[in-house]
Amino acid sequence: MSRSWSLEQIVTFAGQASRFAAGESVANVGLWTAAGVSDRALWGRYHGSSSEPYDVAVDHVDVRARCSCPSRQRPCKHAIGLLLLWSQGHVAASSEPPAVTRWFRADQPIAPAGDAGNGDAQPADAPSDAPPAPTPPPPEPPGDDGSGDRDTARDQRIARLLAGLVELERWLDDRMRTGLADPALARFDTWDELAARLTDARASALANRIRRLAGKVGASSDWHRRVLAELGVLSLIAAGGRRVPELPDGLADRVATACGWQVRTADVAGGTAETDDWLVAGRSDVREDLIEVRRVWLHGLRSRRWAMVLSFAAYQQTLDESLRVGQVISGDVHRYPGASLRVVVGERTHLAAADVGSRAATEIASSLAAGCADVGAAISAEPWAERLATIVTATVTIDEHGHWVLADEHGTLPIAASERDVTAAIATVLAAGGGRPVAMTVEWTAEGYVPLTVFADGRAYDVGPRADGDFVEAA
Amino acid sequence: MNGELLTAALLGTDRHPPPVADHPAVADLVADAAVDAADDPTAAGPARRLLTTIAAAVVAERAGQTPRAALPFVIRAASDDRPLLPVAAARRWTQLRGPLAALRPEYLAAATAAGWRPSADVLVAMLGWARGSVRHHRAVLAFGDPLASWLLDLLPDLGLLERATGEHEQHQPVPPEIVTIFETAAERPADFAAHLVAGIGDGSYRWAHRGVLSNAVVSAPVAVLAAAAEQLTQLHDDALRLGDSGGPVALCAALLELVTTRRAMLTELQFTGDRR
Repeated sequence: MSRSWSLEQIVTFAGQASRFAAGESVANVGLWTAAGVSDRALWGRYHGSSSEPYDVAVDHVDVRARCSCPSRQRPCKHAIGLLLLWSQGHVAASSEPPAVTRWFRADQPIAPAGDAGNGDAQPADAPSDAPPAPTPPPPEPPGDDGSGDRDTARDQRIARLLAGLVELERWLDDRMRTGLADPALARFDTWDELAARLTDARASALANRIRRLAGKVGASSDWHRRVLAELGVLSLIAAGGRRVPELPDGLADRVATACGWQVRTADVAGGTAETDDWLVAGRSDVREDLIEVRRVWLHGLRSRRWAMVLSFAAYQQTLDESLRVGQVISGDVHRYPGASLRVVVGERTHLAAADVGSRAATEIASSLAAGCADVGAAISAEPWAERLATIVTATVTIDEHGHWVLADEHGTLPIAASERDVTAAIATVLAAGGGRPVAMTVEWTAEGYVPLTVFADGRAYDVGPRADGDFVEAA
Repeated sequence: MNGELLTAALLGTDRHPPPVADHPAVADLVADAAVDAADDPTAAGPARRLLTTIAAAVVAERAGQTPRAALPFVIRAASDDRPLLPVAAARRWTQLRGPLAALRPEYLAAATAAGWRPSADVLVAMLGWARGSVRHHRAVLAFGDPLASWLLDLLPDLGLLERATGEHEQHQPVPPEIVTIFETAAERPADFAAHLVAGIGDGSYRWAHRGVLSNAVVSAPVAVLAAAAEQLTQLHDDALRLGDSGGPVALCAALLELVTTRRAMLTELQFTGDRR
């Protein structure tokens, strides 16, 4: 059995102090399963806050590491963490799992002909006193699971994404250098070219944000302030995206998703289930470029946690109508990586009577101040969030500028006047309460709050912005 | 976000140095970011510093949001003791679209006569629908008051359009070849269903007459609806059995939907169960 690496070797392998520190943060026995070590390999499964565990393997002879996390950094913190566990004596000798063997065989280090095994093939950041590398086994065809190809494709995706983020940061820097008064900002091409490059980089979420932002230029009297705020948030995402490997797991996953890192729905649905009685608290449809995006907000009546189901429809397609506002559904949701707000709805076991939702919402509803605090806490966790829901008891009234605002006895909050159907929503709030406060789900946006659902008379009135019926098909 | 930040961003850092953040926490955060970026000349430049300051200020503002000062509520609406429109009836209103919209005036009249109080969503939808017609608008007020008038005072945008049609609206002329359907409905209601079905069956009433026939069905006495539904169903099924999927089937299906919807609507509006 091989001698475990020393701390100095691991520090050298990590290459950067910050990466070693990140590795230390995950070197916790309780977070690892199926760990083992052989004469050549070290492996384990890391269970962080992601819905999916990461499979980590280290070739401690040829000094290579592989991990299924989305980090571009090699070695990633999980590999460092696993090495630290080994050095602390927490990894027992075991026989190599076939997947690890296949990976090693499919991913041989590149060595000059005739020089195999002389140590020249070690990465530049390998520990200087790493154990000598034995002669590697003869190359074999890649494993039939295609994992080598998948890993390569994934690495290429990450590289493209990072290149896109660098591009975005440069573009943002240019905007700040030349200023928002630069006439180039009024040209759609200025935005569209960047969006196209971000789409090429597979950062589609950022590309969409850029295109939406282009639509705000000149659209209101205070557009400079609105656009500037969004540019700041974009810079935050870009900076976070470049530093994903250094971020805590959950945050790293959320940042990666905000950048456009895509996760297969099937993988999410296979993750840990969160079972609760889910109040379908609200719905909002937003046109984003050429698609309608539907957000359905779920509120866990036991956990008090929010979840959000997204669905999309291009022209003449249908949006998901399976979740009716006001319903209470007992069942499972599966969160996207990083304890995200976004979920996939799993098994539904029970549908409560029609008036249960309205009663529950009335009990949950808080003051505007408490609602603000909820939204603020969610923004602290995801500062790039564009929409967040909360349930408040309030009515609407008119402020000194003649604008409608949400109001309770202690304060007011602005209503996003530019949202679709907002006049009808305000009218329904008024009609439902006759001027008295009622429980309602509202959606925070950077422009103000949008009433989504009014709970009154034992009913739930769905007043959220609705997709254009000429654009989407009725379900 | 303060005005200094906005000014710097408007002019650009090539012409105006980025200001120091006015909030100490934001300033600290920007300073930390600058230390992190010390090795990268671009990241340490004024443009990036301005962006970092803006990002920190925006997030701080959003995360720390609190309500503004309280304002007086609007004057409350007068109370309305009528029982609330049943859920099924409220849902029905939203389904009266396309050709079924012809039933809306009758819905309003029936709901008013039955003494229901409109639910909030239905009242708002009705006001929106009635904006183009004085007659419909008056009918909505008759059903929705006192809440409707109170709402219109607060939200004049829901009121009548300037180009709204007058009290007496023009109806499309009835073609002479089918005028008998109206005469039958008025004078011999018991024969209405048979007359309608016979006309469709022998080709006198065609798809082109659908609009006028729909008006006849909508204005026919309620008592004829059961027979009309039964005989239209029979004709529809017979036509299908004979492989005739053309005009008569489509016309039957359209009129049948109107008849069945009208019957269901009136049943829901005359609902006499739980009147919470």
